[in-house]
Parts: sequence; C-alpha cells; structure tokens
Amino acid sequence: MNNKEFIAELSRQTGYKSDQTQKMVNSVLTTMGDCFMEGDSVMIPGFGTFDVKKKLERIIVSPGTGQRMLVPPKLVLGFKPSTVWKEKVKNNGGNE
Amino acid sequence: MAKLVIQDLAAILSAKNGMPQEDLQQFISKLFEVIQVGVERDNLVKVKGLGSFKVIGVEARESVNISTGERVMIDSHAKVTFTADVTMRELVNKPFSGFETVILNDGVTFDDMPAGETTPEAEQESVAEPEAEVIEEAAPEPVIEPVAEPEPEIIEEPAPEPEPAPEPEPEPEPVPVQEPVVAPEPAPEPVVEPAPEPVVEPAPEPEPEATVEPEPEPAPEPVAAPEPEPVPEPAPEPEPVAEPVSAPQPAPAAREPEPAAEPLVEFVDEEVKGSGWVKWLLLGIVACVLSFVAGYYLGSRQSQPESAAPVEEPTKSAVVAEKDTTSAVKNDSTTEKAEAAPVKKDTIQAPVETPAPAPVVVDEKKKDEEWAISIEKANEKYEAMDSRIRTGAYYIVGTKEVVTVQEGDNLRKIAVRSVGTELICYIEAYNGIKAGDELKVGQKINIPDLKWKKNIRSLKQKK
Repeated sequence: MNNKEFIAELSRQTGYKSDQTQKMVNSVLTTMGDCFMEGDSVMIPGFGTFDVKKKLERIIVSPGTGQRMLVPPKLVLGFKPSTVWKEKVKNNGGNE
Repeated sequence: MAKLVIQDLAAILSAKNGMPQEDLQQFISKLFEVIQVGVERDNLVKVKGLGSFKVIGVEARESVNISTGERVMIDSHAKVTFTADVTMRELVNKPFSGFETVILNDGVTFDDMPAGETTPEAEQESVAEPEAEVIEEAAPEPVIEPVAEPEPEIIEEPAPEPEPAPEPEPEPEPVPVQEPVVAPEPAPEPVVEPAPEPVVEPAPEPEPEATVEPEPEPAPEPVAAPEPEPVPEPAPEPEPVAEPVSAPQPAPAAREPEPAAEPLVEFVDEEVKGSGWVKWLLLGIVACVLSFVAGYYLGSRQSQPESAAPVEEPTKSAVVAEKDTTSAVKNDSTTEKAEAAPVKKDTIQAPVETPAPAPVVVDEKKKDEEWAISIEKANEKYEAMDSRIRTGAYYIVGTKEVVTVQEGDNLRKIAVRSVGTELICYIEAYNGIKAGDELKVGQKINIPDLKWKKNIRSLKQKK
C-alpha cells in the first residue's frame, strides 16, 4: 500500500475528498512532528507508540577499508506497536 | 516529554485550523486504523511525511531467560517495523543536524590536511573530531566504547556551531586559532612570535594600544592597521578583496583563501596608499601560511581534549567584538589578535593536562587491575539487586553527576536525559529506587558512571 492508495482508502472511509484528506494527513503529521521535536511521544491506542530516542555517538570501522569513522549522536523516531497488534501480527504474521 | 494521545493531537490541531475536535479525533484514529489494516493486508504501508510500516519475519533463535539463565528457544514470528521517511527523520534529528560522519585518521599526516582546509566547515569539524579520537586512545579501553562522558560536551557544540555559521567572520577564525601553537617551534618569522605574546593580557578588550606595543620590530599587521583608517573605505568585505590579492599571489591565496581574506583587508586598503605595501603583503601572507600549516600539523598531533570546546568560546566572543567594531578596520586587527591570545592560553594548558594520564596508565597496570577487581566486587551488590544489571553490559564505576528532580520529572525522564532509557535499571539500583516511584521536586538522583564490563575485565586480564 503506497501513499496514494493509503489516501484513497482513508478518504473513502472518512468521506473527505482525497486532496483534502492528504492535506489533513499532512497537518496531523506536522503536528506530530512538532511534538517529536519537543521530545514528546505520541501514543495511539490499539496502534502503538511513536517516540524519539537518542543514539549515542560511536566509532565504526569500515570493514572494507579499515577506516575508522566517528558517527555523530542523533535523534531517531522509533515506533513500538501496541501489544494487541503485535500479538496479532505475530500469530498470523508473514502471510505472504 | 509528555506522552500525547489522540485527544491531545486533536486539540492542538483544532486550535490550529479551527476544525471541530471530535471530527479530528475521529480522523486521526481512522488514519491509524487504515494504516493498521493496510499493514495486515499488504505487509507494507508507506505514508508520505511519516514513514513506512512493514511486517517482517523473524527467524527462530535461541536466547537466554534473563532471570533464570535458562536457554530458551524463540519461535519464528512476524513483527511490525517502522522506518521514518527522510523528511520526518530530518525533522526529528534537527538538533543534531550539524554533525556529519567524519573519517578518523590514525597518524594524521600533513598530506591530507589541505583537503580539509578547502571547506571551513569541514575543517572546523575535523579539528574537533580527531581530538575526540585522541582522547579515547589515551585511555586503555578500546576506542569503540560508547562512553557517556564525552557526550555532553559534544551535544552543546551544535548550539554554537550553527549560530556563527551564517556569518562570514567565523570562517577564517580556525586559522588564527592555530597560530599560537606554531610560535614556539619553528619560529618562522619574528612576526608571528612576538605578536600574540604581549597581547595575551589585554586580550579581552580590543584596545588599539595593545597592538602598538609589538609594533616596533615586526609589525606587519599593526602597521597596516592604523594606516587604512584615514582612508574612507572601512567596509571589510572579503570577496572583492580576495580577488585582487589572488592575482599577484596565486600560490598561497589559492591554498587558503579564507585565512588570507581577513588580514588582507588591511593590506588592500593600503594598496590605495601605495607605499611599500608589497613587502608587508608578502611578509604577512608568508607568515599566515606558515603559521597555519604548522599550527594545524602541531595541533593535530597533540592531544588536547579541552581545546575543542574553549576554542569555540573565545572565537565567539571575538566575533561579537568584531561585530561592534567592524566599522573600523584598525579594531579588526586588534580583535583578530584578541582571538589568538585567549586561544593560546587554552592550547597551552591543554597539553599540560593530557600527557599525564597516558604514562600513568602504562606504569600502573597493577593499579588498574586492582581497580577492576574492586569495581567488580562493588557491582556484585547491584547485580544481586537486578537481573538486568547482571546480564547487562556495564559496570557502575562511580557517580557521573547528581541530578536534581524538577517539576514533573520521573525517573524515566531523568534516565532518558542521562544514560538512556535502556540503562534505567542502573539508576534504579544505584539510588535504591524503582522506576515507578514518586520523586519529590528537589530530590537528588545520582547518575552512575557506566563502563563496559568487557573493558574492565580486559584490564584485569592484561596482567
């Protein structure tokens, strides 16, 4: 499911036009982005939790060249699916 | 650091675009419902501006039950993964966006320097980073160790860095910063040497008098400074200046356009006067090139843990000073020196401190061993308290800092700020509290200093 299909499906379910849906999705995501920038986490019941984690800086060694590189610290957005959903996926998961 | 739910999001949004809160709430939950359904159906959902959700299979593997130590089998299963897309990733990482991955050189040689010189930004970074490397080398532990200490320093750096970036001034600065290091060794010309020295004291205030002092003997810069003043052309713009200069002096100018740009402002002004300026110009450029190159060389070889941070400070203040005085070219030259002066103090102090730990470590391996054993002993207590610590990768070797509880804090937030959420158990054990406990405002929490168990053990085995 790519973005287009996602928007189409969402607009079908909510009754908004698809361009309006895209706009609303964007505003929801910007709001979430603002929260992440303040270090807040966002919890969606039944879905999961988005939170920002800090990764420490580290030194890696490139296996090919043997060069050592300093990777700077960074903030990454993580997502943890809710237990209910996780279990559901776990049990019937991989239905390729 | 709050945890937001759909209601909060809807409230923020409705305040923004005035839509009824209930509609928004419904919309948001629908949004995630669709994602969820899509993930279950297609195993993959991509949302522009957020990221992609994917179901991936996990192979069966063996693991260890952390409380009993038994080996257990984990069956193959599927799980949901999320990868933030580029826009979201960059948005989240904004505070640290100033950093780039840097290649560390073992023996930093002269040959690979010019490459770094070309871009002032890259240079600033490479100046800071090799030092981090050197620090860790001095310690007996492997470099890979994810030490917690150097971090705070580096975190604060991004703040000053982006700030001066847009201005033209800070770019040439790393150069004068290096300058003083040169002076003692090769003594290329009297010009460089005497200049920074007498200025050290009056440095804080950019007084014209200070520069007059060293003037008599070498003084290409100070001399140049007073002269241009009568010239009604004080605007120091690097660009137009750089051009005419690079023409007569292609070689040095091409090699380091930035450092040349600033001092040359004066010289080119002098050109208007046109009396013996060529000599001074040559002298100045040669001095600049020599000091810069040699300073870089020396600076990279010496291990100076502190210099990265303090260097930023004086330069910053210098920038401020420069801003005030940009109208007068004369003052520019003094502030330029002022920059060099405090930095010199820093660089001199730094080497004094650093050589100490290295020989100590070599000579007193035995002490290390005893220390390692004592650390292990001390940690038995904590390990008994918490199985997460027993199976964890770190030992507590001391107190890194003491944190005072703020309004609305809990242990988890403190952990995130200090050691990271995963290591919260160390704070719990070290303070004898639990993550869920109520904390009083003003309560002191000791943050443990954590070291890799592996490193401590290797200390012990070395003997």
